Amino acid sequence: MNVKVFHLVKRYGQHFALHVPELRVATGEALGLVGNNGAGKTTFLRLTLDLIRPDDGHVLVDGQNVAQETGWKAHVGSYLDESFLLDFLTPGEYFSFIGGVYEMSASQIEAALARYRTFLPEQALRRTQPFIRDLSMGNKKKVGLVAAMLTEPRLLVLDEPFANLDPGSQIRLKTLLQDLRQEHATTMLISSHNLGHVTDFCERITLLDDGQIARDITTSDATLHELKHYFAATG
Amino acid sequence: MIYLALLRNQWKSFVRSFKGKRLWLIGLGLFPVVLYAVLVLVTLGLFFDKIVWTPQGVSGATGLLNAHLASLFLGMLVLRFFFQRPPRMEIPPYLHLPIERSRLVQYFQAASLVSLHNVYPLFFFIPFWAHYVVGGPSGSAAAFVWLAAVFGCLLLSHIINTLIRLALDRYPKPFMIVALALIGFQMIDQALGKHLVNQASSLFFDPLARGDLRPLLLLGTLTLAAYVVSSRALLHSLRTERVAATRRQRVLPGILTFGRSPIHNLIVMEMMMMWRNKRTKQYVLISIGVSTAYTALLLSDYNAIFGNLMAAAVGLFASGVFALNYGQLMFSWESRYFDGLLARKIDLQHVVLAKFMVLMGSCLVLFVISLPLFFWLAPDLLMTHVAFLFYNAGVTSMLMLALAVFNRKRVNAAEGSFFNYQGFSLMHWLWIFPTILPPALLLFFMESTPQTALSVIAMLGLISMLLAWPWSRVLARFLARRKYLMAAGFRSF
Repeated sequence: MNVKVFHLVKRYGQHFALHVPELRVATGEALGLVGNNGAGKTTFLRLTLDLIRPDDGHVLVDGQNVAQETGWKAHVGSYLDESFLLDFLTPGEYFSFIGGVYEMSASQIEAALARYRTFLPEQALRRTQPFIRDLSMGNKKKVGLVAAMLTEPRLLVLDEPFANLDPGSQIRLKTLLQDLRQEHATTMLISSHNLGHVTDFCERITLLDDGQIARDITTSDATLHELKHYFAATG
Repeated sequence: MIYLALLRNQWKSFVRSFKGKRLWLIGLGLFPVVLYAVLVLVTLGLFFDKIVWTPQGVSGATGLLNAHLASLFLGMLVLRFFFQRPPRMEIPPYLHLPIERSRLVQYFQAASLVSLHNVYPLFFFIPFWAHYVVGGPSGSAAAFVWLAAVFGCLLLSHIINTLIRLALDRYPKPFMIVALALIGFQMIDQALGKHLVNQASSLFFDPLARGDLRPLLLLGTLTLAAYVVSSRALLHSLRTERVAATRRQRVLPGILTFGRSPIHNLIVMEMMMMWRNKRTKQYVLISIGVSTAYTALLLSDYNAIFGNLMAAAVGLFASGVFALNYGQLMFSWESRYFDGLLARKIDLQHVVLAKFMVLMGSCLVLFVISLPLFFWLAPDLLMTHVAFLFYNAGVTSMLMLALAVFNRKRVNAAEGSFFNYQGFSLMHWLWIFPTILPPALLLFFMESTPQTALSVIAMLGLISMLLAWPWSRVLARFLARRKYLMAAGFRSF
C-alpha cells in the first residue's frame, strides 16, 4: 500500500501542529518519523489513521482518501498508544476480537500468533491469563504491537514501538517487522525517538520540526551521525 | 512554611477545577438549590419541635433531638462513607519530596475538616442550639457543653470515616453489611416500639444538656484515640503497595466469546466491558436495585400519589432505568480505547446496532426481574409494565443512544461510581423529562381509555424497534461526523 499526503495541515488554535505540503511513501517502504517532542509525529500518524480531522489537505492510502472512505482499514494495522487496547480483555480475548474484526477464524488467529510466541509476554500465552490492564507497560505494548501485526497488514502504523520494551524484545521486534515486510511487502510508518533502531530498520527518515518536514533522508551509514548532529544542534 | 505551601497548592487546585467551566451557569443552577437547602436546615433548627412529632415521655425540643442524635450521626457517617473523599488521595504527589510524612498526614487530616459534611450540619445545629439549648433551664454553660459535644461528634464521625475508608476503600461490602445491619436494627427497634437506640442516645446527650462534663470527656477521649489511630493508619497506608488484582480468564459459553459476526463481537465486547469495569458493573447492579426496590416502593403506594404520572414513572424506571442511566454514556465508556476502535475495520452502523441491542436487552432483563413485583403488588399495572417494555426498548434506548453521540467527556469506567459523576451533567438527568412526557401525556389525556393509551405507547416502541436499521444508519452517519470531536474529548484528561 502506498501513502500520499497533500497539503496536510493541522492547527490547534493559531499554532500549526503540522504542515506537510507533500509526502509520498511507496509500497513496501519503511518510513521512520523522527523529531523532538511536539514536532507533529503523533499528529501525522493520527491524521493517517483518520483519528483527527485535518484543517486542510488529505491523506491517500492506495488512492483512498482516509477521511472519506473506510475500505483501507481492512489492510492497515496500527498501534499508537494504550488507547488502542481493550484493557478489560485478556490478551487472548483481545487477539480473538481483533481477528474477528478482520474476519479471521480461530485457527487462523492461532496460526498467526505462533510466530509471535517468543515476543509475547509469558502471561499472554498461558491458558489462564490476566486482563490487559493488569500487565506491565512493556507487556501491554507487546500485546498492542502483536495485535497490529496479527492481521498481516499491508500498511503498518506504529508510534514509538521500541519505547518501554526490554533490549531483547526490541531486537525481536525489529526481526518481526523485517519478516512482515519481506513476506507481505508491508509499508511501514514508524515514529521513534530511538535513532539507532529507526535508522537501522527504516530505509528512509523524515525529520519533523515544529510541524514541518525539516529533512527527508534516504538512510545510509551516515544518517545516524547526521541525526545526532542535528538534534545536538537544535536541542 | 511547608503548611503554607501545601495550603497554596490546595487553593490553586480548587480554583483551577473550575477552569473551562461556565461558572455563571453552575452558579445559576446551584445557588437556588444551596439556598433552599440552607433555609430548610435553618428552619428545621429554629422550629424543630413544631415540625418534628414529639413522642410521649420526651420533654422539650432538646430532649427530642437528643433522643435522635445517635441515629443522626450514624446516618451522616454512612453519607460520609459514600460521598467524602479520604485525605489519603491528596498525599501521593508529595511523597517523593523531602517533607516528613507525619507532617503531610497532619496537614491533610486538618485540611480535610473543611468539608461540606462538617459544614452543612451546622446550619441546623447552631440555630437549634441558639433557640432551644441556650435558653434552656440548665443555663448557658451547659449549652456550651452540649454544643461542644455536637462538634465532638462531628469530628469523631469525620475521623472514623477516614479510618473506615482506609480499611475498606477497596472493599465496601463489609461496611455495607455493618451499616445495613445497624439500620436494620434501628428499623426493627422502631417497629417493635422498644426505642433502644433513642434511649441510648438520650442517655448520652441529656446529661450534656444539663452541663455534665463526663460524657464530653468520654467523647474527647474517644475522638483523640480515633485521631491517633487514623493518623497512624494514614501514615501506614502511604507505604502500602497496592497490588493490582489479576483475575483469571474464565471459560465462557460460546455465545459470550468472539467469533466472526461483527455485531455479535461488538455485543460481547460491550458485555465484557460492562461486567469487568467497576463503574459500569455498579450501574448494572444499581439498575437492578432500582428496578426492584424502587419499583416496589412506588408500586406499594402508586394510586395515592400521582396516578397516571406515577404509572408512567413506574413503567419507565422498572424496565428502562439501565437505558436511562447507562445509555447516555454508551460511547464515553469506551473513551479509553475509542481511538483503537476507530482505527479498525469496524462499521459504525454495526457499533450503533450492537449498542442498541444491548440497551434493548437490558430492558427485557429488567422487565423479567421486576415482573413478579407487578404480579404481587399491582396486578392492574401489568399492562403498563408490558407497554413500557416496548417503549423503553424502542424509544428510550434509541433516544439515549442518540444523546450518547453528543457526549465527549472522558470517563474512566474502571473507577467506582459512588459520588462519581464523571461524564455526567445536569442535562443527563433533565432528559428523563422529555422521555417520560409523551407516555405521561398519553396516559393523562386518554385517562378514560387507559388501554388505548398503553397500546399507543407500546406501538411507539414497537415501531421504533422495527425501524432499528434505518435509525442506526442515521445515527452511524451522525457518529461519523462527530467522531473527531468525541475522540478529541475522550483523549483529554
